[in-house]
Amino acid sequence: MSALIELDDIEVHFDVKTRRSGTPATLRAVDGVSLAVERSQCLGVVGESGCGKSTLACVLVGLTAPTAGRVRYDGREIGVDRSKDLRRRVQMVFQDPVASLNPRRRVRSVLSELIDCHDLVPEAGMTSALNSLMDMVNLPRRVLDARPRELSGGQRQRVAIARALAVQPDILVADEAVSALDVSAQATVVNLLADLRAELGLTIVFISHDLGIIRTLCDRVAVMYAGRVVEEGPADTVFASAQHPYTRALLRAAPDLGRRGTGSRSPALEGEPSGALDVITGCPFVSRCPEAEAICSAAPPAYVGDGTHRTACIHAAH
Amino acid sequence: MTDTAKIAAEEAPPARKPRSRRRRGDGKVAVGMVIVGLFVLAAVFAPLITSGHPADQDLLNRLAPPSHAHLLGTDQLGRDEWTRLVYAIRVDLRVALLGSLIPAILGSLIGIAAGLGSSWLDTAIMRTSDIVVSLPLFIFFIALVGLLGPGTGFLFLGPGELPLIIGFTVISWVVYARLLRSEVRRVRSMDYVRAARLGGLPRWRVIGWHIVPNSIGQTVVYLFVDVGLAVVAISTLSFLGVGIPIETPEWGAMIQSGRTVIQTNWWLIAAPGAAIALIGMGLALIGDGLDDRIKS
Amino acid sequence: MTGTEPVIEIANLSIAAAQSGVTLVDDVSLHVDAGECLGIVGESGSGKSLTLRSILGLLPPALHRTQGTVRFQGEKEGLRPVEPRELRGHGVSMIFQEPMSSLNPTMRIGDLVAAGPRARGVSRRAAADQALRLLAEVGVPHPEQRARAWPHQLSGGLRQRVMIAMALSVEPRLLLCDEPTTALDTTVQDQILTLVERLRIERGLALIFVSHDLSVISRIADRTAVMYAGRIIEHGPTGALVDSPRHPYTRALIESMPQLHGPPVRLKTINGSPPTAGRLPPGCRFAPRCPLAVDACHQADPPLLNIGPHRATACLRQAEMNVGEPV
Repeated sequence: MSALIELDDIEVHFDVKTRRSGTPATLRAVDGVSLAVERSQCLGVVGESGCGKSTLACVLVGLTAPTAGRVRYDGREIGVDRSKDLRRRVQMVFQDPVASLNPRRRVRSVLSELIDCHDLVPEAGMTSALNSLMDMVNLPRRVLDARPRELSGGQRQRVAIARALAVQPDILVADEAVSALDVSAQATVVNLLADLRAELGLTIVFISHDLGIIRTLCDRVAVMYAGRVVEEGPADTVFASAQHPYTRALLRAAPDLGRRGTGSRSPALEGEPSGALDVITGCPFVSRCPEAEAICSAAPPAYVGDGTHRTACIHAAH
Repeated sequence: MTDTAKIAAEEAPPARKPRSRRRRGDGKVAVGMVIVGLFVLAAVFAPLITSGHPADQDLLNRLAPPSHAHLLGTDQLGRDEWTRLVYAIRVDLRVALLGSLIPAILGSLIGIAAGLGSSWLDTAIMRTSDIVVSLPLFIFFIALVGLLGPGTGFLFLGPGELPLIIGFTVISWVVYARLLRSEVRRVRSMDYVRAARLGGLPRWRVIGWHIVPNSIGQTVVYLFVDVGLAVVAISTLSFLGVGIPIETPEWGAMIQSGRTVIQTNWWLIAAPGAAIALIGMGLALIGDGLDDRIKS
Repeated sequence: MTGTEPVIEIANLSIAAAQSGVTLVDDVSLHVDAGECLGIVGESGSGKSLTLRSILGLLPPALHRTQGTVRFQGEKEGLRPVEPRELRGHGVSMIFQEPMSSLNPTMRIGDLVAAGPRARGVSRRAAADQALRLLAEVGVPHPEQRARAWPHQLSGGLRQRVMIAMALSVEPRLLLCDEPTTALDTTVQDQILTLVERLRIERGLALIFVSHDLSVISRIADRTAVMYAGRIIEHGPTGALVDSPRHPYTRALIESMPQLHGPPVRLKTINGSPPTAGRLPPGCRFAPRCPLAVDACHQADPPLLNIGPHRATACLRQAEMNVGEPV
């Protein structure tokens, strides 16, 4: 099966000035990422803050131009300046439920302007199109006439999903779309995304720091560290037998109801990610890796593994 | 979707919490509107609530104390102080409103251009505004107005009014430009603006419907305060003999001419002074109340 | 459960908005023993943070305590009623979610940590030494260098460690934790939780740990109180509470959380949304969303009743909640 959207060796480097000396430096937000998502698949991208997962989302939807590499949609290369029709096909749901809706516009006007803009339905069908959007995201139709401030966080995120669906996209990129929500609202939005995928055949790229949600929702998972994908594979395999030491540490560090208990133990991982400003010659994880060897700092490790599960670690056993 | 569908049926949008700040803001706006509204009504219906023309002299009845015929007495030329006070609203508010609205519109457009345009345009506009800010503004203003002279009026404007409006425009567009530039830069990186861009909306639509409406709140707040400040500036200048000619019914000019009789006819100064303070307070209340509303 | 006298005991605490009189925290009672950790879990608006903040009198100006007593055990005297002000800097410390806004950006790290001892009359030299010892104790690498750094130069995890060092500098017996790991990355959260656990054991600290995340609470707390719409609706030893919840809300909360182990399952959702304070339903606050609700549940708010050793629930139908059997 060929990929619907493909990232090919994407690099996003920003020129910045360091705070202290003002000397120019390069911030490597994304550093050579290749990923492919097939139609109707759900790819989870997991990593800690600053690992480049949000920048990657912006590259996918065309908000950020990569400094190197290519984005291909259905085999065609696409950049930041996309045609209106191509732009419509990749939509995004943002993290902050407050900032993601225009406070001055009612839900109806936000949705209808998008539908109008693409002439997706005839004028007479607008009302029924709006109603079916509300049904799709499980919101009562009266929400159409609400302003964002009258809605709860979970409702706002569902309106944001409806806005993305209004232009009939093929791909939905969700950037930490449930992180700001309470547990119960989180569950409804996660279930909604799962249903949309099943019913509309939507392709989803779900970016999150929460391993549990990724496991519930996604069939593939990519683990990012310091701008690179360190492990990628089918979600059940990665969660059951993680190959990269960082993936294993993340799984061990994540709090989980199924494995509780107090008492002293050592943390899963010491230290914090080094800044993206540092020049990395070898494996980006080497400074925190409990299994690091001399060879790890010499050159970035190549991916090992089969066609479906790959790991950038010399110790990976595939 | 059975479990989630059930939620949809039962989940109502949460009720808005009582917002005391919003209510207080609405109260301020209401009081301010009443004050300003009374001034505007008085200006519009001036002939109905006064007797005669503000320039009518009654040399036999100079410096008369308040009486039934002359509510606030008469001045040195026997002109009715109440009539002059009311007609002065027309002059002061007209100049202050235009002198704030024109720079507000001009400065806002410049600010939007700076906030959304190329970095080259932004730099050019911001450096220009730096230069304007670094000028000694009041001296510059007085010099400009003096240089242009009072003239004979322009369209519906009386003598001395156009130079004042030009002077206000030259110096106060900067505030609006800077205010709107920073607001536009804040709003344009909001997620709803990015979502609108991703939705494929045309650029003008994103700017006109999503960026600008969410950027102008503080500008409107400042505009109301600015009109009040302009009233003070106009009357200060005519008190100093710059701008509006002294014979015009204008509050600053009235204070200037009443200055010599402050010992005996203090109300000739107190009345226009109170008018300036009251309209300034009314406008400031509206601005302050709108600010409360925006921030609640 | 150590069986000793509690370090702190809060009885019948209620908090209301001063202007409208709307009750936000309703009749909350809790206690913590020395060396014990009490977890308080709840969604936003459940009143968990207000409960915690009121102990030190840190309520927002528009809110005030309408009833309730706080009794605290000082170093020498026994349990006695105290005012919030007496506890600040004397026996009780607090750490917050966002360390950056709690650290004065114009003071160096070393001075921040030394400020507590200095205020108690310790000499400048001794306070600086103590600050270095505390920074080392909370796991700040190279304390001598870091003591000269400014808050903005530190990572989120280090800032949180500095805040804990500041909290420890007044030799507290009770540490209040208000979502201290929510803003942190997974691996850093793990480090901070490990550190807090270690300090509890080494120093015999009593802890109250507030979080919206039951999995974090289940890792750190001996006992857990679940709050909903301003009330404690269930309370018990953490393990028992998670394994066999005796309140439908607790169970719904557990079932709506994604798991890292076992077969992946579809998440359960809770109908509707929590009630707004001031517009509470007539009976049990959870009844409108509860799958087990019967007519009686809509009549009166059930009190929090003991149902066994150290377990209490505010549910009329708790007997029907058979262990481990989903509805």
